[in-house]
Amino acid sequence: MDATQAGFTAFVRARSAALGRTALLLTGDRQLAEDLLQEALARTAARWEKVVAGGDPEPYVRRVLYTCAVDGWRRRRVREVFGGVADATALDGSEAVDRRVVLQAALARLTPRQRAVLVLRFYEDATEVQTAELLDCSVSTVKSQTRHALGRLRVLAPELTEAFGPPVPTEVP
Amino acid sequence: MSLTDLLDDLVRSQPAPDPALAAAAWREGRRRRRTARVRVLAVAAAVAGLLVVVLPGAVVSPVAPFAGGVATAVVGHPERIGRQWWVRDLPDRPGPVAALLQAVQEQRTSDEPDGWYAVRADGHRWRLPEVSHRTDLWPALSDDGRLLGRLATPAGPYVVHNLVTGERTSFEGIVDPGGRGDRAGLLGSQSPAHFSPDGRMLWLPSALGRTMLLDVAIGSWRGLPEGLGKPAGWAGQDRLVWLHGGGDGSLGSAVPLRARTTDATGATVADVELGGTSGVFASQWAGSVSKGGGEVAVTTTTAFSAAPLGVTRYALGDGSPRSAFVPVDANQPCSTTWSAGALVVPVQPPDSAVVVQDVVDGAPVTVTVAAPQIGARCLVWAADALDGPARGGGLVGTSEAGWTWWWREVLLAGVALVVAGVLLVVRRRRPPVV
Repeated sequence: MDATQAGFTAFVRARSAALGRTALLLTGDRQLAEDLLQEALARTAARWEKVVAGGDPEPYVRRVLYTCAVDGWRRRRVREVFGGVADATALDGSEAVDRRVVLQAALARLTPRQRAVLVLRFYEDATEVQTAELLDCSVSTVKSQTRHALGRLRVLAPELTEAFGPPVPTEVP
Repeated sequence: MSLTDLLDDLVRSQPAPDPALAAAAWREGRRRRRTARVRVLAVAAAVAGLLVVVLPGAVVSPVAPFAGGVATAVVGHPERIGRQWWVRDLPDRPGPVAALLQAVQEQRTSDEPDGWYAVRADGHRWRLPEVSHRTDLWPALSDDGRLLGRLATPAGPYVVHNLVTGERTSFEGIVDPGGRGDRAGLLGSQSPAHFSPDGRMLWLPSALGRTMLLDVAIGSWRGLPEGLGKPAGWAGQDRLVWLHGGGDGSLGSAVPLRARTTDATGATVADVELGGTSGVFASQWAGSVSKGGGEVAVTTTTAFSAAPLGVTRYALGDGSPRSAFVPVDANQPCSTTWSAGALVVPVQPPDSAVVVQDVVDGAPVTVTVAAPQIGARCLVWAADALDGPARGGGLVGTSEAGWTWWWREVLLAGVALVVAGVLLVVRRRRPPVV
């Protein structure tokens, strides 16, 4: 293994757990999440020298991850099979499980882009500007997507409405 | 509980990805990189190949086959003489050519300059350098396409250029008609020249109605007697055929046209009246002698520049007419040319593409078409080229449709659009590194 590959391997070992969680939220299925992560890492490996020359490789990988999830990568399949996350969480018969199942079902009804916006804004804690840059869209699109996504979640999971409002986070100037 | 907490909770117990993920992703990434590089190289090679094939004039003409100085005759003639993006000067050893093309653009439709061009059997053109722009000074081409005769500079000398070996034979004292020199050495303008069938002699027009004979083998020249007529061509290795008599183009003239055969010194051997030619006018381009020397074709008009042109074949033995053909839109003044058994007549349809028609059996057949943008007027053929196969027509043959002259550009534009589209898609799908 040469130094270049060793650098790549070290990066993957260090960051794959966090990246895997994001992939899982974007796809909703463990197997698909692994596929998505491998796709993102393979694309990164193909340009690894350039990527590391630009600094921290993680932003690039995350960008690829979101791009693949939103823009064409097995999009149909992702939408069809979203719903496997519950298996991953221990089914303890508690209220927490019910909550996960309801949220998961609601997320499954969103579009990949709406899901990506929610993950970026509420899981990654990205700003609207950062989200817009990552998804290659305008800030107003991020706002409207967020608004629509939360609106749909309120309809699809009324028992979790408390978590979705009040509502749309606003950009702090 | 906030949405952030809910999402955290949803993936909290997510196990770490397979440790082999890094190695698998690395292998896959490197494989893709190799594939992408191979694809880029393949596309680059394909585009380069396409450019070489479609760009007119992009390929340097082959010289190697003739580098050994082996005498080679031209094989075949162009089916199309198209536009070229780059027209180079004629190299030293381009090999035999099929024709010389005179380009005169009445209405300038391209940047190509007027002048004389050598045309290879596949339609590729080279510019004749130096006095190329003097379209009124006709160069000469031997029957086998090996020898090119032309004035090197306005002050001379006249040069016979062997296109196979690159050798040049100079004839001092032959100069531009507007220049200074021996009166006998003034080259005649607006008149064709004739190589003997074996290429050893060249019959040149001189100013003031004279002619001169060049011995290519020893590099000397001499004038021929005045008043013998207008040169029509060679009937064998040492027989010259002249047209004389006929009308001056005015109505009412009754003098018949005659064909005189002389030896190489100008001594008359035979002189026959061409049947049915009373009062017809024959210009200096009017006559051409068949390869075997048995017939002469005459392009005539009953009243100068007024009546329709006619091309008639006569037996040289007794002057009797063999056949007559009246081409439509005949391209005057351009000489007719004989191949082994056919008479090739230049015509010029309204769209100004030159079309040469073979009229041996009475049914005209299009032999060659030239792009209107070139401004092609006359072709001086290597007669042997017309005996060979038509070349370079591709899928469009002798079609004169406008788009057929631009198929390369259309193809390139299509390829460029596809490449640009693919690049755009790839760029959109691949996030920037930074």
